[in-house]
Amino acid sequence: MPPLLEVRRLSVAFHTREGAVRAVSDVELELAAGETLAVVGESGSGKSQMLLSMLGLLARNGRAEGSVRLDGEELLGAPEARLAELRGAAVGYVFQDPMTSLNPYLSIGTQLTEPVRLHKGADRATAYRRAIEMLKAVHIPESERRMRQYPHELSGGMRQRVAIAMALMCSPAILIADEPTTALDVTVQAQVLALLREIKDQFGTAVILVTHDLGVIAELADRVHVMYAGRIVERGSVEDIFYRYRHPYTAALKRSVPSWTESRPQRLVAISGNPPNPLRLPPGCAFAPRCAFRLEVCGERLPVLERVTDGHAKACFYAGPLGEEEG
Amino acid sequence: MSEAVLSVRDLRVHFTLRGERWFGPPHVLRAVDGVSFDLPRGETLGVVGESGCGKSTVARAVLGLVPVTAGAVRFAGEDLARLPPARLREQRRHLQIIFQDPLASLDPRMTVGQIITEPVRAFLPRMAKEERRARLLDMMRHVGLLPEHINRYPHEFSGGQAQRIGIARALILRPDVVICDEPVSALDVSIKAQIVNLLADLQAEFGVSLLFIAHDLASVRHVSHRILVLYLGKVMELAPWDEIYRAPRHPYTQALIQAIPPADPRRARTRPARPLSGEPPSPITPPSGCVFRTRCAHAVERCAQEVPLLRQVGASLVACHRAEEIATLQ
Repeated sequence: MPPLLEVRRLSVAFHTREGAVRAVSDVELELAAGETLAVVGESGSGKSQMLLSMLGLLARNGRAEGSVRLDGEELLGAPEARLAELRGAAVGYVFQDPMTSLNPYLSIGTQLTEPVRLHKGADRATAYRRAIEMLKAVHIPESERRMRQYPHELSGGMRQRVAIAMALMCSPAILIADEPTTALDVTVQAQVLALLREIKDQFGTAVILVTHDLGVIAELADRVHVMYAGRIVERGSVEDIFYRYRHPYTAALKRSVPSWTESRPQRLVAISGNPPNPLRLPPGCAFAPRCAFRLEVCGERLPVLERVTDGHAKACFYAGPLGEEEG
Repeated sequence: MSEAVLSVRDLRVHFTLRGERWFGPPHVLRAVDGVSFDLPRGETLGVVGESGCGKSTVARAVLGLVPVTAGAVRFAGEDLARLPPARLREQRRHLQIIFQDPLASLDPRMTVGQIITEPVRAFLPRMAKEERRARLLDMMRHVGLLPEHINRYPHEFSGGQAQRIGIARALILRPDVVICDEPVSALDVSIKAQIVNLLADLQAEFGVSLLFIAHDLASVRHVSHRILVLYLGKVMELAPWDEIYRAPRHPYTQALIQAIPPADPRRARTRPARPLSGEPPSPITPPSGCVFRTRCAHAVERCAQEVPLLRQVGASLVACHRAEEIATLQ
């Protein structure tokens, strides 16, 4: 069976006054129905632009090249009308700030029912019933009353639940969640993570989860792609990435998170330096200037993704041990 | 424990808001409602809680940036909340702050050198230019900035570098206390650890006391000697860093710990998922008795009637009627 979503050699560039900025380079990605794929990377690593480019949501100075196939249908270069049809119906988006998707001037009810009426041609009563059902699915109490309220009357956690309900109204095959819990308090984050897991199980929705938080990935992801400076540097199952990582960047990310354990190290293991400027990417591997395992070749040639085991690949010339490892 | 450099007693910061009706009674928002703590010299006190718990208001009240309704902020033998403005200004040079958003807190039209030396020019205007420059270069070296950065502007720096500028500005007067208001929350993972380590190094070198405010309990515990847990403007628990792991006593502290997603898929998927339900109630109409009771799994009738006082349980201070029982339930 072909994958639900198949991305081949996807590159995204922006034209700016200072020259062309490559935000995403040669990304390959597959998503099967019902699975959760996490994309982890720092700000500026290109993870959000990669996802926005798939449905024609790039800023006007952005251009995407390559191929993005959803259920076999090519999306890059598809007419805007077709993309508008797919957004909301086949693919639902949840953003970091729920107010990105919520309109402050419209009632929750209007906003929830609009997508099904538009995309599925549902009548008012059907759309209303569906909205109530979805509000219940995301555990919003007093759903009838909420339908009449406006976004500003809800707390941050509630708004994010409404945004999730809205993304799910048309039963999309894919839910794209871009840092869905980053702006929330820890206790509310835990609630939203539990909710996303429930939704996966209950509706079988495939999820692409974009985050910089390894804790969120550990909770939800089946597979993980690690991005750095616009490229995928390692990909594998969640267990590969957490217990059998092979890229120095993945290793460093894992170690720089303070863990909740009895002892605490004197110092956190930091990654030295700063992420590169996308206008002036270094030749060779973009992580090399910050890498503790840098070889001479790293500054000269670009490492490509190579198979480690089935489903696990890394783009790195270094093959030795990466320090303490688990599992 | 060494002497306290900063001592806050029963601090209250209440804001009056217009009520629902134009001429009706005003609402009172109790942002901080009876908070006490000591900050010993050279130590770090972590302050955690959800948004709206009053952690940033505590910081602003200590610096005199919001009016204090009641209580005392004792620093160097004086109550900052009662000082005449001129004297407060003098004392303020000993208390500095680092903000969450490093770029937003730096003036885009000033060079790095001007930003870092601004406190010197404000508080020590008679200092010779040469000495000021020597201090600037020394501070820049300490925070890991290069001398050639002096004439650059903030927008040329990444978030991590900008936070280093903010830290240099806060430390150049060698203050006794630096308030770090979510100093790493806006930074990328790989940069967070750099800044946390830098703060620890600077503390070891200058003996500065830090009030480290954050919503992320794991990072707070990493840097703190003791941790203050706030909820709806009140102290729930004050515990040493090791004790908060070994024996978190307040149900709210326990809930915050439960909410940390472990960066370990095997543990994440086997642990019981019991997230704390709901969100904090409005600080305008806080619950009677214990403010946490509406979300607490252990609440009993007494919790609605009687405000729990902060009391010693083991090595911690806890505001919970049932702290001992709950500890044995764990």
